[in-house]
Amino acid sequence: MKTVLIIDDNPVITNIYRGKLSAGGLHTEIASNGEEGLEMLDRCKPDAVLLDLMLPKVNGMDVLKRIRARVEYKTLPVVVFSNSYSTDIMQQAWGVRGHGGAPQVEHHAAERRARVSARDCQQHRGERTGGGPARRD
Amino acid sequence: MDAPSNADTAAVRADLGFWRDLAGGDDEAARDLLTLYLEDTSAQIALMVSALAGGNADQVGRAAHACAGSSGTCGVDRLAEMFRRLEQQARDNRLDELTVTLPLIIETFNHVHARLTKMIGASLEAIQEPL
Repeated sequence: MKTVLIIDDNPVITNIYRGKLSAGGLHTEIASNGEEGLEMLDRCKPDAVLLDLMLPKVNGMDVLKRIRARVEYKTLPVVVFSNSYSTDIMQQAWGVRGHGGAPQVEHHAAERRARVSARDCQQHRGERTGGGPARRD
Repeated sequence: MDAPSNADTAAVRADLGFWRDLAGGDDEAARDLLTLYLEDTSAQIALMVSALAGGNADQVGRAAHACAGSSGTCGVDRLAEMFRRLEQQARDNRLDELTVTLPLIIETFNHVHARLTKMIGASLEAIQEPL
């Protein structure tokens, strides 16, 4: 089973993502701050990451930079989201496959993010050639 | 500030199907999500009240940001809009405006809380009805 790591400190949002992703046959792990997210990255070897940008301890942008700084995670699909939806912030979020979070369509965005993650899990799985992190099957 | 009426601001998606779909599960998952939303928002509002009393606009803003996200995602749109306004006021350190907006939010949330709690109760009653 493929794994999605959700890094978000909002329990309502993580509950929704977990429910939707589980319904789609994906295993989820949850980290409630950036520091924990980075620790869990190596532990759970996710196939994709859902990353909030406004996080306690280590913010989402720094988490993303630290993920991309690791050669084994260069192609790891990361979907960032923020209900601030600042264009500047999104433009800074280099190396991401997609983003979501326009507040007026939050409930639709949750669906979209879940679909993006499922798709990216498939793509990432196909991209790996044996040198990447171990997968959960 | 243009304050919508309580009836408008308390508008919520009061059909369990919406919440079931959002939770990606069954009625129990929907009730769990509803309860989580109400408990978490209550806790965040308490945090905002405490932070505002201490003059900590930054903490008010962070809590308002969290509530705006969960309220928007859960389809409680007018409340989400009010939380976003509060967040902006907090970012701008407009403490005088926060003291006006926060009580309005509390009043609105109380209405939302009552409606959603009623929906949870009705859903549980449906389970307990004899076949």
